Amino acid sequence: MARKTEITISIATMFVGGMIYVLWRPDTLIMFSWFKTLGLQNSVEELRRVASPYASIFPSWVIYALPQALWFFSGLVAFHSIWATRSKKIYWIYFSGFVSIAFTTEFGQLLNVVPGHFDVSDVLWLLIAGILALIITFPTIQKGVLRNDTR
Amino acid sequence: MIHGRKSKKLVVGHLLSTCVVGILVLLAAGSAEEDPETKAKREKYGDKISAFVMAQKFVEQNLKSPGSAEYGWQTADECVTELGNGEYLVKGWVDAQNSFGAKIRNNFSLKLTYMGNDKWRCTEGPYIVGR
Repeated sequence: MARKTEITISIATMFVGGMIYVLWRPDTLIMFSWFKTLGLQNSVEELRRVASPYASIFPSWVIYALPQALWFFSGLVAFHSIWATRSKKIYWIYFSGFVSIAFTTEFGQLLNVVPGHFDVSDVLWLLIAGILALIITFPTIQKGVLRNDTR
Repeated sequence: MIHGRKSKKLVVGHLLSTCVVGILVLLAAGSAEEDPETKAKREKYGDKISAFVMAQKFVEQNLKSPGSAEYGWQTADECVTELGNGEYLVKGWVDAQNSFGAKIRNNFSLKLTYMGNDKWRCTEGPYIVGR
């Protein structure tokens, strides 16, 4: 996949995930206090008011599990777009580091080590996102476009 | 020379990756709950935005042409007054078609009470007056 396409996909999925939070998640999240500080409260409120009736169209996993998965996917694709022409080894370090952090955070919630509520569907969505990211970047990896490390 | 260019590329790569990580950390931090007290208060007494959305539903039930209702750029902060104990006073305007098909601006006001579990009751009004 072309680098520009990867960057576009990465930015788009990050944006969509963010918008789900802004439009349909409760306004008790920390980001809403940031919007207030930045003077964006009225615009955000208006957006939420307009979007509010559409929340019932989506199943709850779209609002509660999908955004994280989109961000995870976005990160993986972004790392690929950055490192594809630089270093194969470093790409895999970022990839595995990011995957480890995401899953450790989820399972940390299960063990009450990390704040938040553990949900199996969150883990499943992370898995799907990770697999999808691998699928779309795999042809590039397989063709050997990823460069070997500089010594 | 080639080695220098390669290492420069790697440095840029690490900088870009740091930016990606930074953005993701920011998103993760922003998506955390503010504090349990605020959340508990919201669950017990509702919030201004939900009150404003519900007020519009109650108002539209009393319009000749609910589908034509438009509220412009009014915000919950401007229109909703929190009275305490889950009670809200909502004042605003709505542009809607009357029985002759003409779109006119109407002022509305109503009192709402949050009953819990996303349920609201209109305790006063809605009073709708054409301008």
